[in-house]
Amino acid sequence: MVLVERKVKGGKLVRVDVRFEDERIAGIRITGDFFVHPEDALLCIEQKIIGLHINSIEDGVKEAFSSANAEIVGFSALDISEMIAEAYMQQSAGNGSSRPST
Amino acid sequence: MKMTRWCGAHDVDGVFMQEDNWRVIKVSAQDAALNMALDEAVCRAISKGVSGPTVRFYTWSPSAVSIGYFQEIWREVDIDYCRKMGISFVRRRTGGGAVYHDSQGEITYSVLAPECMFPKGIIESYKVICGWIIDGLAGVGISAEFRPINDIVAGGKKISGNAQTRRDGVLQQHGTILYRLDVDTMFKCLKVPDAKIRDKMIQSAKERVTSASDLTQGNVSFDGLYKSLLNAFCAGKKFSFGSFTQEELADAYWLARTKYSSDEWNFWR
Repeated sequence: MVLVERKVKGGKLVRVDVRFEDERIAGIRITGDFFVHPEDALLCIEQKIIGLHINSIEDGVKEAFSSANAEIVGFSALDISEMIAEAYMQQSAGNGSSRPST
Repeated sequence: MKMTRWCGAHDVDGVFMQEDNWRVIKVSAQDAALNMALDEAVCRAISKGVSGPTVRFYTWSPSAVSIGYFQEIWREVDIDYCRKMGISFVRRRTGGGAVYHDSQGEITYSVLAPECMFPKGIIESYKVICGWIIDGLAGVGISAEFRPINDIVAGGKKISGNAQTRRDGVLQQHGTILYRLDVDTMFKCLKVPDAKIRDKMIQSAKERVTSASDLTQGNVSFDGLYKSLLNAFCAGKKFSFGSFTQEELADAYWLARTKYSSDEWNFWR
């Protein structure tokens, strides 16, 4: 997993942990101090993002958010697609982070 | 504020046809799991139409850390320190950030009501309920204002944080009003990115966060602040003081034991 963190201007702190395989998103977890109404929509959004090719992230993430029909407070779909792109660049450069055991 | 008439499924059985009949539950202290469970139990009862809109005030005993629904507890909370010091931790069902709830240092409220009684817009509904807090602070001589998304500031510093969820037709908003600030303990419970900058963060927090006691130079008591908030929350509403129903309590104790005390919930995500 590669971690990218962003304090959204005028919004909230968002962390994206993302894993890539063969230039596709193989896993993603979006966490932070934001709000999503209804809350369960975030899991649906994450599921829809999995499988996206690195070349279609912006449109794919936008579609995942719009189809979830959720109200997001504190970040936007664009923030997430930018963070995923940043994570991919980090992975390409060989920088990742892993979750410690609890 | 003029409240709207009961709506949706909540009036079909004719149980709560009366406008604005708020139940107000006076302040009491519970542990973290039970506090969160009581909120959810009341929401369930409101959703089923067996309880009406409710305001409750509470404190946390022992002191606790709560994290937002979308946060990772291991990233936000120093679990080992909390366990060593007997400080509880719990995941909320609302979003937002991690909060240290000092047992003597804050008043927490919950507003639990049919969603249709409040504006549809999230920020607009925050403004309504935060307006009650601002009125309560004004009652003890503190001038405060709403700062979107979900904060209240006084003298440019945060004095209240709030979080909201809407599920099954029920709005739940809870939040804290700081009475006294213990930044040192707060930063021992909450993880900081780098221990080397802990002192800097503590100083920064002292510059960004304030409390009723600080703002009044200690001239307002905890009870004085609570009574002012109570008056402000009740103002303009038809209400009566009440308590949790037996069904709510049974549900809450079950939720506290099986959900809010569980690692499965607290370490989720």
